[in-house]
Amino acid sequence: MALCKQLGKWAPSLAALSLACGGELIPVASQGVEVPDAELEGVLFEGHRAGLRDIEVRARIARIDPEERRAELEGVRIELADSDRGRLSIRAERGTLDLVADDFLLSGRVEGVVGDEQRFRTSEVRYESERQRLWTDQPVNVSRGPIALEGRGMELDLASRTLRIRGRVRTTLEGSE
Amino acid sequence: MKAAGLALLLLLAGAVSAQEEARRAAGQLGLSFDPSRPMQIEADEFEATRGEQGGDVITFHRNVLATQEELRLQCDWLEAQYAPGGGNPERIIARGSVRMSQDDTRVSCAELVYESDSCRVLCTGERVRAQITRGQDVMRGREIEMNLCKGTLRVRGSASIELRPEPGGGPLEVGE
Repeated sequence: MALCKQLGKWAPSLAALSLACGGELIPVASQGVEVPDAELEGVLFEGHRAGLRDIEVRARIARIDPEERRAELEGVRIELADSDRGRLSIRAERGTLDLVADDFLLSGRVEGVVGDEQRFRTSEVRYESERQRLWTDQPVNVSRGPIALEGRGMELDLASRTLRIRGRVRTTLEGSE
Repeated sequence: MKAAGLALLLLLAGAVSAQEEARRAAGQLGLSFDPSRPMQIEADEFEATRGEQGGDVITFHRNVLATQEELRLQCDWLEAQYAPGGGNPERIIARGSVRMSQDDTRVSCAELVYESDSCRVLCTGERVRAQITRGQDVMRGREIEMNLCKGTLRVRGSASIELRPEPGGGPLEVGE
């Protein structure tokens, strides 16, 4: 279950924030009290798996929907950590974060870096935490070492770091002397 | 035997770099693939993963077209294997309706394997023999091996050569 931590200025009640993060407080809504949506500035969310932090989400603005357990984000930067394969860092103009599953959708000038070898740019990307799969069906530009590719549709398996690009891929293999 | 239409054994001498020598030798075969120069590749799908040795393995699936200057390679599947640390691919494998062409040289086979360290290209046929055509001359065999650094060509297994001299004359066929 994802844990939440917020920094900076925030306006909501602690109960609402805890609800959104799957906390253990008695749901305020069940007591007949309306829980307001929350808007936070300068937010940091952290997700953990097997006791290790594996996802970190920073946003300039986050709007929390307690009922849907979801955050709408602006000015997003996400980092997924893997001690063996290095970090995955993605930034985008907007995003939607599932506060329970750690799944997310990012859109608007999405740029990502995988380890220190691979970069991608696209208009939209989705992440499925359970499958550790990052994917898009939009046009994408990818560089991996000496290879630069463009295609339509990308899938990155974070466990194996296998990258797939679809949709009439074009690339140039740069040689070296 | 008309030797002008087909490149066979060559000896190169002179104070030229090893690479320049290789390019010139490969050119004598009618093929001048150079792994140090950029190659453009198109395909319906691309996959990149880490090989067992730690180097990248990149694979192109379906309707593959690779071009380098005048050289064209078409096939159903193409894989490039890199050593750890990158650089030029150590090995390139093309499978499925492999057709390679440059100027008036055309090669066709079921599988083509290029080994960087040996400068060797091995073209093998399955149900249909591998074939290299230059102009009107045709060589076929179960295996066609080319050394792009030395400019040598070997045909093995049910090998045949079909030489077409001047117009008006019939073909001269030599085979096993």
